[in-house]
Amino acid sequence: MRPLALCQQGERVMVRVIAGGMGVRRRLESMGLYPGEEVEVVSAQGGPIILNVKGCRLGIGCGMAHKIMVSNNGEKWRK
Amino acid sequence: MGNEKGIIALAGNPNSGKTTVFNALTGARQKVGNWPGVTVERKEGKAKPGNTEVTVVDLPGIYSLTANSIDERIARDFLLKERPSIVAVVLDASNLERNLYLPLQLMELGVSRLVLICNMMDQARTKGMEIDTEGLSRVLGVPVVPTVANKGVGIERLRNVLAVEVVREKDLSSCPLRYGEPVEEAINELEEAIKKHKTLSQRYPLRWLALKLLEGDQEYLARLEEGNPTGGEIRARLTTLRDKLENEIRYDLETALVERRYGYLKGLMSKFARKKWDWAERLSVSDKIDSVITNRFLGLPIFLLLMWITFKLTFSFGGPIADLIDGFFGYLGGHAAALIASAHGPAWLVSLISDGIIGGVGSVLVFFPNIFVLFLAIAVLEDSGYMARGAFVMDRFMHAMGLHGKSFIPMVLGFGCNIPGIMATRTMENEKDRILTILVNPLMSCSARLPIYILFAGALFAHHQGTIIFSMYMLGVVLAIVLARIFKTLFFKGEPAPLVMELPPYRLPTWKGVFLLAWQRSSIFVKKAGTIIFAAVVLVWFLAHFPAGVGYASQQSLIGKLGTILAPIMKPAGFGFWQAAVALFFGILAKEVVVGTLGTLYSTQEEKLGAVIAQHFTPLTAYAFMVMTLIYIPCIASIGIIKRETNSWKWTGFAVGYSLVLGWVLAVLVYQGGRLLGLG
Repeated sequence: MRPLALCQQGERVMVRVIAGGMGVRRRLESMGLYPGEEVEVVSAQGGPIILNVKGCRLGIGCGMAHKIMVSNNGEKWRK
Repeated sequence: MGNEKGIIALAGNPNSGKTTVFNALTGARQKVGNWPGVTVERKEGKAKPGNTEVTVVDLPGIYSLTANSIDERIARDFLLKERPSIVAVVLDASNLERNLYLPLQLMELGVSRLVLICNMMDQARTKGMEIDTEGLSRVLGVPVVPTVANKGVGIERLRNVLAVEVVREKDLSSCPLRYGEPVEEAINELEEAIKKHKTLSQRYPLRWLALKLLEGDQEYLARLEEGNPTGGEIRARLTTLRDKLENEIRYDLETALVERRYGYLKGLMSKFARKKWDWAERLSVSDKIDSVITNRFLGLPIFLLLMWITFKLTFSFGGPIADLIDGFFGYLGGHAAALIASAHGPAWLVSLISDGIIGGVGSVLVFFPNIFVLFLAIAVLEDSGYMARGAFVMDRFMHAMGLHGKSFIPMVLGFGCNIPGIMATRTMENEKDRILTILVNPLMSCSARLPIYILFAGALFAHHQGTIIFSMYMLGVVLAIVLARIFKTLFFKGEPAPLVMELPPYRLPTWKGVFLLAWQRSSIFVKKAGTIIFAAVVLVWFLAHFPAGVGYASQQSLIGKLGTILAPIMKPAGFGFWQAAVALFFGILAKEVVVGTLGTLYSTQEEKLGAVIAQHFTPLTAYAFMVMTLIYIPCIASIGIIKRETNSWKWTGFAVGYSLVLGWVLAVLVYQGGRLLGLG
């Protein structure tokens, strides 16, 4: 697992853990981002990140991108 | 469950084309009012789907009903308390899966009569998606209407469907989503327990409550013990149920429930949308534009360039039309005076009409073209999708100054008017970020201050008018940055909320949409000219004319006396004469009144206001005066909106106090500093 902030442009990864309060998790969930969802990094230039989530583009601030842990696709992750 | 007859609530994600559908349904018959309870702007319009007229209420664009931001709370409270006859949810057909999450929540909340509007079908088709709206309708048990609202396609059919639904007597449609055996059992068990909790079970459907409690929603958990003896019992039951379930499904329940919901939607997609969106189409045109516009090196220069173009347009297009209007009012004033005089009207009436009303209101209305063009440019930035990118690009910079990426949009809107600017903070989730953004927003030079700059810069800096005006805007921005930093360390310690926002695909703005938005906002300016500014200039004229016998607008008049009392305060800033002092005094009503007051007091048939100003001010005192008007106090309407949005007299008083002190100090510094440098 690694933070989303360290992902490269063009990578396709699976969201595994979202740290942060219930409020943030709920908001991300309603925008289609939750553990278990596959997303694509559309743009990563060392600052904020643009994600492709279910065909929509989400801008994720730098701070938040450090709190979202992702893994390469296909890695087993359920307990 | 009695539904309010004749109200259709329009819900949907931001950028789903909700406003376009609203405009298509209601046409020009819209009005802006207030939400009950919270006095926040609310848009509603009339539509006539069948034989009866109904009210269509445009809810704020939301992703969910979790009440994170004020927008979400407003939408949810409206749906639960007002019980509209129909909730019509606008969906972006090209992003159907994510867009269906909201109506799914609505169904779980027990909202009985839903109509789904599958909008932007053309874009879905371009993406290669074929959506079976009828199949979707059958499974979900609600009507699904395909539309392309910006081209008017499907609106007639939508009207027909709404006409049928609005009169239909129907029981609660139950949500077709089921969570599987173990979870459903837990839900049933919890429902039984919650039944006894009167305060909660009367306000929300049992199934919704059970689900929210299982998800661990703090909002509902916190209210369990609220004056109810069964709260503890429910909580204990909840804990056992959660532990048992998590053991069974082997990971956390919250995630499991979310996954189940999206799993259900994915299932719907595979059945009724012939092709899901596809990774392969990832490098769309929009992404290519974004790779330039959000580039870490190009982002900021592009933003500055766009701002520069905005202001350039404001002056080069607005200016010539403004001159025409100016000429028109001069002509009108002269003719009105001649007309009244020829009808043997009293001299005071001539003075009231030509000096007071036409001189005062006219000198303000002249600037309408500039303001309209400014709002037009802002509307284009919003509708094209650039504004969201701006927030995204500026996030780091905003963080550095203690603000939030989402503070960016309110700040840019503030250039148009601080009122929509302050209201736009409603999408911010963190209360600290929000109040901080509100406090510094009045420093963004709104369009009401533009007439003052144009007048003074034109009169005294004829060759550097643009630079001088631009320096005012920059001063406002720099002050906002510095003060935000200071306020943040003093009052709002802590991390800003994390930035997460949707970047809608770039779109070519439509003429209709842009003009409507610009008109809705700039018409406030005309309304102000007809009401508060009109009243203010009549008052100024009256005070300038009395007591009887004194010369019009002389120092012996009432207003002259008031000005003479106030003037010494402004002496250190270089404009210690009474006309400037009363102009600033009445400018609190609305900043345009500064110009209106000067127009009334200095009114002459022969000379333009600018020429008179040039006789009274030097370039240095004019600059100090402009600095003062930029900062010295938010206008009455802004003060009102600050009170409403912060819900605190303390912060409102603070906003007024700091700006008065800061404005005076800076005006004095400019004047005294300028004199030391030998500029005065």
